[in-house]
Amino acid sequence: MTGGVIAEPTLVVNNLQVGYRRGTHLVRAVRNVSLELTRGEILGIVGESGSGKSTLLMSIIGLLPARAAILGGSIRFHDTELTQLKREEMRRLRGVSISMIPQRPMSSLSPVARVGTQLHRLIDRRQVHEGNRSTPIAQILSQVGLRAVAERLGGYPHEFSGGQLQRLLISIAALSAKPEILLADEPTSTLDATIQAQVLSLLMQVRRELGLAIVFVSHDLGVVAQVCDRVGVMYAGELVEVADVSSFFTSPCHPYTQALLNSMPSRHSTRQLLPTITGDVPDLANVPAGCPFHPRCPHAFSTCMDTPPANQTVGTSVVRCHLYGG
Amino acid sequence: MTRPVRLRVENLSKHFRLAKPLLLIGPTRTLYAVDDVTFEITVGSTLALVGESGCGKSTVARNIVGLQSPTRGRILLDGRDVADRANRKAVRRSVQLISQNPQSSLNRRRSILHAIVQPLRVHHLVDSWSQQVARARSLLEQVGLSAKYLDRYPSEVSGGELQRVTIARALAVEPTVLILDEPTASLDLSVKAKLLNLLRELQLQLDLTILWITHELDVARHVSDQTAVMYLGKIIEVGPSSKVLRSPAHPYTQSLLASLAVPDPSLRSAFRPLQGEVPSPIDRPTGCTFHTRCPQAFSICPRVVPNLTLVGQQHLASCHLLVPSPQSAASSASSG
Repeated sequence: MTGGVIAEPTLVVNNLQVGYRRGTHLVRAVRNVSLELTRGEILGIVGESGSGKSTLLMSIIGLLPARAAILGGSIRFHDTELTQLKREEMRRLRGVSISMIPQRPMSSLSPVARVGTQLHRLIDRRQVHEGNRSTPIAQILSQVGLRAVAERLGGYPHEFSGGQLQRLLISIAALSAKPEILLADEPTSTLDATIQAQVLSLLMQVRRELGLAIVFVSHDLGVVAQVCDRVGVMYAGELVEVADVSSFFTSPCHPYTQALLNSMPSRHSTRQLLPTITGDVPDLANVPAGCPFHPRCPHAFSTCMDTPPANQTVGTSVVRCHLYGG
Repeated sequence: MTRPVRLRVENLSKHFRLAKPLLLIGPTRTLYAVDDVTFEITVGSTLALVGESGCGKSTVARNIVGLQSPTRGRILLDGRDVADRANRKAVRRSVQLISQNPQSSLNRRRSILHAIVQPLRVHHLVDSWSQQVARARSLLEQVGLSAKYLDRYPSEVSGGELQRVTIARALAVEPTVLILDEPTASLDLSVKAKLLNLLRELQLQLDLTILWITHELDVARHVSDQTAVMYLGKIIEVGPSSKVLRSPAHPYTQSLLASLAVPDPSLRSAFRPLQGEVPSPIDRPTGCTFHTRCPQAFSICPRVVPNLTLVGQQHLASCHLLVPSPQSAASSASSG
């Protein structure tokens, strides 16, 4: 953000490969993904369903389902190699150094326990690991302007609105243990516009106050434009472009990024037919050879069909496309 | 060129009586889901109905298609009251509803062919089985799907394709009015663009009149001629989309636009969240129902219900700020 000192990245993902078992097939959900995350930075990850966004987040926080595995590459958090950690060691980090905000707050809380009780459990567990006393819940909540919600902690999840619960979870995840990394998987996709705006401004506030690094997964380009500093685009399990937010929107490099931005209704006059991308997103069990986007790419040429592109630096962006460099 | 009105909703209200609380103490409470809603859509045009969840958008849709009956008010299709028994059958054919979630609006145990021929049978439109299959085939083609989808089951088809299937099923009975309840809300960006294009093409081909319910203001801006904004069961602003969604008159519409996450990082300063949440439709605020969240509320707002007043050509909004003097607002409200 404010330049000057070049900070050591908090998180470095290098050439990450993640696969799922589906019957006798191997579904390669994340392929060759490399990224860095610096303190205080919000990195947006955009992409369509099935592009590997959520799998990437789950690998970082060590919550991949049993039929999935990290097949290669590394995830380094400061000096700790997360892919090598034992389950117990990962558990100690999770929720303390690296926290996650769910997509649906309603279904990630137990419906039969009071909200306050559940939040206390979360915080108490962290205290055991951290060995120090956390800030009381009510104090945390009034710190971020949620005093009215703090008075109703004896209630059950259904007595709160989705926006209130989401803000509760963000505040607790961010402010009780003060993690360094917050992973947010479409945290506002189920919320109304005005409530979404409130949740986003809370996220920005905790980022400002604590300097946390946030990985923000979203398919809503509007939200990404409003909150992220850098944006990564995923397609068929690969990170095809990483750019700072203004170059992402003004001069996207990868043909997929260009097509995605161009299909937004807001970029076209009323009633005009929208440009679309031919074909469908590939099945991850059967990704096209060469560049995975080549069957749908308007600029594809012979090399694209057999040679996988490597990362190229274009200005401040990193692009995985044969049109650049080479 | 003005075309005739196809669908007119007149003073529509839908109130729900709530169950008595425990021990039957206290008065019966009423939930005002839709309160005195009036709008009309001309042949071949689109009205977007926007607002946050719980504002009554979907209740309006359910009343129009007859899934619920209004507490008060009328719904006129081509000038005829849809509540009349004599008109009911024609209305059920002419007005088709497409919902947000195609997965839950199709029977997952029956094939797509079954889904599409069902309305043909119910309305006795096509007799022989081979004709039904041929019709289903051409309907799928119309929504851009090949005939191989006929034998598939909903679980074997992606969300965007499934939404096309529900559109094909709706078109089977040759409706004149489509009611789309958040048709693109659960879709990815590139799939959404294709569906918006499809609906636009179908509208032009078939001269469809569309009521488009959505909370996505950029979609509303793109697809609609007119926009009506609802808050707590009432329409608070209605008019040409070029006015309502670009230079809104009502503070609520202004706040909605300000909390819209615009896909342009250079416009971050315009992003201002509205404070508070939508109040419960059971205990609605007095006066103007928006006064509890309105940044410009003043003394009269909690006391007097504002009426819809003309603020531009065919552009109405209900806000005390828009009335020349508070005195005239008070007198018109008490007389109304």
